[in-house]
Amino acid sequence: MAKIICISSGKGGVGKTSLAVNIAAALASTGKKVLLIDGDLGLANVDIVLGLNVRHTLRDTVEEGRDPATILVEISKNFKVLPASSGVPEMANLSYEEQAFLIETLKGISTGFDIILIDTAAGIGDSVLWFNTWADENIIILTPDPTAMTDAYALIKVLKTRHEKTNFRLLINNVKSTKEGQDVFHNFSLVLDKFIHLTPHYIGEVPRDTHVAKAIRRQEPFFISAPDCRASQAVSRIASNIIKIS
Amino acid sequence: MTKKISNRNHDPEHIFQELEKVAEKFPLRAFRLTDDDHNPTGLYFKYDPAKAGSGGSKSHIPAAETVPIPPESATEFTSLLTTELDRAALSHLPCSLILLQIPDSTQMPDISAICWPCLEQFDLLKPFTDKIIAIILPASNPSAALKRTRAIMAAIKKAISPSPDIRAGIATCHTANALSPAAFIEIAEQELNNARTGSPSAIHNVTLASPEDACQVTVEERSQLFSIFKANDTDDNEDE
Repeated sequence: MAKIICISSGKGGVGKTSLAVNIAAALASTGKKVLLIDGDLGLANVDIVLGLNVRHTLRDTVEEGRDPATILVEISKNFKVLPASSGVPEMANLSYEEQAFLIETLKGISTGFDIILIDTAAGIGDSVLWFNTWADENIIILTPDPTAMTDAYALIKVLKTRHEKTNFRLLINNVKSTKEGQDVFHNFSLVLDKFIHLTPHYIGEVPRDTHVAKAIRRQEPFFISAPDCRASQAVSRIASNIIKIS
Repeated sequence: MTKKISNRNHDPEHIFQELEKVAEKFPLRAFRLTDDDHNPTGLYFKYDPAKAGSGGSKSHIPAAETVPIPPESATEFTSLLTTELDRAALSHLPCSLILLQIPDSTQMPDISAICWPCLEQFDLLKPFTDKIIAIILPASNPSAALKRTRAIMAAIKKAISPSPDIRAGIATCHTANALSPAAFIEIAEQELNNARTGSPSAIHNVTLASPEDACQVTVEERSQLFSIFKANDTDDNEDE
């Protein structure tokens, strides 16, 4: 049975989609069969980061009942993507019935995959909350800055308070050193423990690396175009940690 | 001509005492709400079916034959509850208290061992009397408290034969209530009393105030989150 892992952040622009794509590529390179779902249903970006030109998206599934298997895009032998639409406000505000239909549909295509990654939208909107509630594991990405930390904390607090989620894994992106990543995690953990009685797990840190921005501009995963760069090595370690929990 | 109004009429203590006297004439129980410094900030009235059934005087519910917990344990329990209520005030998260009346035939250590697997990491289980256990559930909303109570009751029923009749009272407060530990315990006790008058395995629960701001990130939380930047201002080394 596939392990469903949600990748969220609270704040936008912390590298969530880029990391989701690269982690998916790293997992696939180990032989795991990976499906990456673009969970940012109204402002999708996964297809852009991968340089895809998709004609059909999850919008077709929700609005026309199209079989999601026909929407899947194969990136490599072990790596498939389920793209979403961009610029469609209705998709960002699905009704309860549409949400239930989408979840059931996604369950239907999960067979045959080892790991399903969901790259959610930023914020604490409905879709972010129900994707996180559905997932088996929740990875929260933050960067070492006050806004990203506050928003990640707020997201965790909402998921704990209203949805009783208690198992979070933190990924610290864009750090200047390994020590900075670990320090941020340590401090964040202390606050979670002190105020909301949560003990998060550390899934790893990704250092600042010029290859990341270059790869985004070229619309290709840095894990593929620059496999030896520091960011790729970090993503590889994170993929290994994910395999351990899946 | 102006009418002079006594300052005493504006004294919260006086107002609350007067209201409590009035409440005694009705099937109501009054609970004091206080701020962080234990100053009175409000009164909470709850309908009391026990008082209603006895004409508004004394409770007709037979009190459980219980032995009060030793003073040192009571102090420890109150201290734990105070800590958790203070934490709730800082985090804006709810806090729940379960009082569970255990069967006469069972011993407290046995029950604790049965309950243990049903508890979560930060739950605190303490004997309240020799026949009542208290479980403090930090950062838990009413739904989580109810779920945990049902799980514990199911575990006890499964472990003890014949299946015993267990009653539970749950109180959940949000920070807006600013309850004293004593008032919080009293509310949970009242719920347990109500459960005793209900059907077998009854659970009675009460939630005080609304959880609108339960998720808001507080000033204290932000301050602690950002403390790392003050500590690391001078540390700009990058990995090679």
